[in-house]
Amino acid sequence: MDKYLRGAASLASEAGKFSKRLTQEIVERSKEVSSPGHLYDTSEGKMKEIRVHLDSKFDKEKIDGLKRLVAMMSKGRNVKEFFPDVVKLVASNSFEVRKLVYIYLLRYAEQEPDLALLSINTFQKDLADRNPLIRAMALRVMSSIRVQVITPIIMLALKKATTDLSPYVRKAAANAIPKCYSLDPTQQEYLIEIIETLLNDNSTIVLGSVISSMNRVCPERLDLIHKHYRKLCRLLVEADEWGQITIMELLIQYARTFFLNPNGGLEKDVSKLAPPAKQAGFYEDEEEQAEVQLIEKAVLTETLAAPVDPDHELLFRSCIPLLNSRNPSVVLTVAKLFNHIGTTSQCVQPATALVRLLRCSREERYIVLLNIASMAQERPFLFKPHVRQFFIFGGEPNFVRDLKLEILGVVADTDNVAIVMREFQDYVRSSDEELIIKTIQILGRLSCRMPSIAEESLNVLMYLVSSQNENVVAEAVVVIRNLLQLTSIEQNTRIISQLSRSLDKITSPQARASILWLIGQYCTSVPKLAPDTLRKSAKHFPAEAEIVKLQILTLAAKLVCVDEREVCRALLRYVLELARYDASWDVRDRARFLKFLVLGANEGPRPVGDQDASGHGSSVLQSKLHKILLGVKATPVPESPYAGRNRYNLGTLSHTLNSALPYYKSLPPWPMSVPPEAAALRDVEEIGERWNRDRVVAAPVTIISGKEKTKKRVVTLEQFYEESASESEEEEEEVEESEEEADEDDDDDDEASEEESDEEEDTEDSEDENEHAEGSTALIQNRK
Amino acid sequence: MISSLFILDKAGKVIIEKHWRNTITGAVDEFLKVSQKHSIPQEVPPVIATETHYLHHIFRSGLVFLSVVEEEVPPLSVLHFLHRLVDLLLDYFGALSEATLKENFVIVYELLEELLDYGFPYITEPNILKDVVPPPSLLSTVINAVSLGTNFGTKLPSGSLSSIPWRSTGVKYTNNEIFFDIVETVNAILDRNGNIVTAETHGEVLCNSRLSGMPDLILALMNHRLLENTMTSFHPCVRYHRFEKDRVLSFVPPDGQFKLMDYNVNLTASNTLPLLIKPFIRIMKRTGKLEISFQPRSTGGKLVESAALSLTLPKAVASVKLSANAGQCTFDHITKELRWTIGKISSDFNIAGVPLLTGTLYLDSDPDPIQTLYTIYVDFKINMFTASGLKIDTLQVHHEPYKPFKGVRTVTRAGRYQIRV
Repeated sequence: MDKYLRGAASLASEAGKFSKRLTQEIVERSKEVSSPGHLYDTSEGKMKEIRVHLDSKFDKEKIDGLKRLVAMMSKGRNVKEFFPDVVKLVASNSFEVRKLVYIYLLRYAEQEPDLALLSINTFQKDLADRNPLIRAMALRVMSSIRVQVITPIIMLALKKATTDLSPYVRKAAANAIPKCYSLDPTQQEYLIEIIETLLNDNSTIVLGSVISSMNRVCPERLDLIHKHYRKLCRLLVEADEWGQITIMELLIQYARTFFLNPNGGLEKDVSKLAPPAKQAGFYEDEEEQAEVQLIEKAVLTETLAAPVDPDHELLFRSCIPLLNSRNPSVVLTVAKLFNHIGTTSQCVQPATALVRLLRCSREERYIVLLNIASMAQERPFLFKPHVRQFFIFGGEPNFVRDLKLEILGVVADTDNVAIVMREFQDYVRSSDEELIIKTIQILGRLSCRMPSIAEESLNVLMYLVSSQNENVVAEAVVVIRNLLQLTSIEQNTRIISQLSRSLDKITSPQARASILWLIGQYCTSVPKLAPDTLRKSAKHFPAEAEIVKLQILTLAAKLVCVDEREVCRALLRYVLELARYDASWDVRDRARFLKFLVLGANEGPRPVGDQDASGHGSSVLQSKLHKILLGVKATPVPESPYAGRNRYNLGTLSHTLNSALPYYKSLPPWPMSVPPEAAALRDVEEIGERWNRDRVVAAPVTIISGKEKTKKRVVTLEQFYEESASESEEEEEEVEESEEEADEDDDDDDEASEEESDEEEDTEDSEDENEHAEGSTALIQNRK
Repeated sequence: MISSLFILDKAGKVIIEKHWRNTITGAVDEFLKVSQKHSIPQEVPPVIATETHYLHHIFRSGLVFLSVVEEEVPPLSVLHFLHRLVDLLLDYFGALSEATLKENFVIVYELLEELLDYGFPYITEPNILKDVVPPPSLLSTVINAVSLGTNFGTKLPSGSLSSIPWRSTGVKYTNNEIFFDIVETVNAILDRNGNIVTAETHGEVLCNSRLSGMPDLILALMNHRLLENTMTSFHPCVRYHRFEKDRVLSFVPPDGQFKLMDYNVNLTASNTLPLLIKPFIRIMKRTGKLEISFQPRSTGGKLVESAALSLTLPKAVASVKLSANAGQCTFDHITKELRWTIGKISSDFNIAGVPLLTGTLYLDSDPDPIQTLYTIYVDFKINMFTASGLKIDTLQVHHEPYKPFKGVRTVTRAGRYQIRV
């Protein structure tokens, strides 16, 4: 009894001690909770602890050590020395430990290939794990280890993974293909085989990755797609967002190779003829008319052109719902698709969707606007209804603001130019200098394109000349000079005299040079002003900038040519003399040239012995002097800084940066004719399962008798097209039948909308049907 | 697609770096060289080409997310991916800053590992990601810290991935609830007379779903006609064809918070705008006058909250004398920014007097005769009101036996609401 009691007492005291120790430890450890950032601390002392931690038998300490390592990695420290300690942890049972090991392993495997090989065994074991996530992860990490020796092992694992039940593992396999290819390009043939197998996959999770691998390994093998074309179109809506983008990119290439141009060969002309509208301002009216005619013609030929391949049509139909995607990149890719392989009239809806994207973040908006600018240059009418969306808000970043201005300048036409001009007039009053300057440039370009607004633009610009801001004035004067060449002489006189009056106030050399040139060019219309301006400028000649000096010389020469008075000649001689001793050789050159040209025979020094010839020559020059100096000058055409981008496909990085990048693929030109067997290649029996969104929420399956099923069969539009295309021999009967079916289909739809419960039954029906057709695999999937 | 990703703090120091292909060095320096040319980080162009790399970056929460690309790629995809990443991190950690990133850097690395595989998107759906990389919770931190040696906090993911990519299986809640938030932002430019230059409201339907199992929901909207002529975008879970046909949203929701849809409605009549602001500014030679009134117009009887406006006066303005009958106003002598914070506008403003700001400006030099455009930036918030008039009608739950608790909130905010004077 006593013994028992003593035993119990000692036990109790032991327990007491133990619990005390436990609480102490708990308190100690919970202190760490308050500062979870402690792991990010990587002082030298802690470094030594890491190895101890890694060798510990407790998972928690291993994790601690690994976390420290990762922290050091992210600080840019080289922690390669721990590689052996880490590699042995790869076989750990803890998922947490392994994830961290993988992060470390992938970083340093390339530098320690021999040690990395030690981990391969574990991966191979994992590849047979029951958990699909483990299998996928093992495959993913193993294929990411960039050690060439293991390629055969990876290839074997890849082969096996292509038949895996879990789509995530197959996706990992698809992603592993480009890794293998970059590791060992000689494996291309085998990799293509694997791609072919994976293309048969019907899971939307996998397809996107396969296609992107294909883009990398064998972009030219479009023939692999034939069999899967319709499947890809149909599954497009269900694929994940990133997959949708790659699939569409591929289908664009495919359509360009195997379908005929739906615009009936006119597309090329549209792209060629639309831009010149900005290039040659003189023939503006005709150009516009031509453009209108062109559009009409395009619409006309659209109706007259050869019927579009039903498969081509299928692609369009499959893409339309994607315009409502939450991912702006998907929407842009759809717009690209219609822009490059669709008809002009089909681009309207994508254009609206692009405008919707303007509400996304400022970085994304930049890319969207760049692409809109390119699309608008070819087809400005697409964005005409949305012109107000491009008005500039205060506080927008420069890169967005400039693009909006550019688009406004392109989209404006006779219908909406009034709104745009009112908007521009607000911009030039803003306090943002850069915005004013950009607006001035756009105004200049717009007026070149539409002479009807030139006068209004001139008024706005003249108003700006009185600004205090030098840069603004300079820009305004330069644009005014351009515009004056377009407008009539009478109006010019008023503006030139106004400008010459403000010459004293204007300090910017560019602006001064422009004004002097204008006065010289139109000196006949301001006969009193011109000599006076020359006199004033001659006084300041030495202090002027180089371009101004050149223009003073030109002005003087032109004046002498028109005005016969001795004063002018004297002034010319004066400035020539000043220029002769100028520091700049351009100025000295110009002076010498003008001296011989204008004063030539009379006053220039003559080479000895060649008197007659030169005298004769200069008199010819004299007689033509007026023509030489005051001939009609060609109007300089202001170029849009964004014009050159149309060379590149929309939505690409090359387009954004305006230069071709590695792996950039330009679109092939439309084929002249398509081999008739191409369509037949796309005809395939639909086999196997297909992921169906409605099935996922499967209610208990109700069994419906076979007869009823065939009667109630739902024929989707795609199937309808397929059938009519494939069974073209038995046309007449078949058509009637399918029409009936289509009618039934419509009926079904109506019923569905009538009542909720009905609807549900219907989906169940179709589920059933799928189930029956797909057999056991579908059921397995379902039970999961 | 993406070769490497760096997360930088404001000063350009690397917090997180991750390479999916080869280790890339020097990209951050190249980025900093370009970004230093711009006065504020928002002005740095999002896509930069350097001699060796192509850099995409976004600037959010005071951090720079920089991704390095070495080949042709859709730039919009890269930028959108970065935004998704930020959204995901916000979802995981609640807030995003240098400190939270350092605290949870292990989770960030694990996430990056799952998000991209060889630079291509692998798993980007938050619901599936949470299966693989569990978000930090106070409970797991405490258990991990306290546990002696063994590890309770981590368990192997079940591996039973559902066949819907956006929802994991086996979700269970004791209380089934679902909340909807309609958030509308009004973007508008008005001229000095209150006429609309351009105006629209951008709405988002945000959803927080805490429902067990695999519910199939049907959400009907009141006055859905509004959405007929506009472009909308949906979460991938929404069955688009059903919307086209019946104008209802039918979907199996992901678990947790997500954006169900967004839409734009153009506002064409100026009397439908929630506010009526009458500005008057005139600058004579060396003095000027200023008078701005601020009153609610069509707000459906709801209170206007956190009302404020700001305006940058010309550089020549030396001092101002201001008086307002509601709220406070301040003037910054260096930036020349005038701020008027009104706060809540009481419902009896008609009797108590419309909030009014009057002031006199004193200039020390002649103003530029050209630069006479002032932009007034307006801010406000109205709870339980939508500028477009969109409302949620009914929500039906199918395929699950329970009746969930449903909650709806709406709010209208000023986005870029500006008046040009």
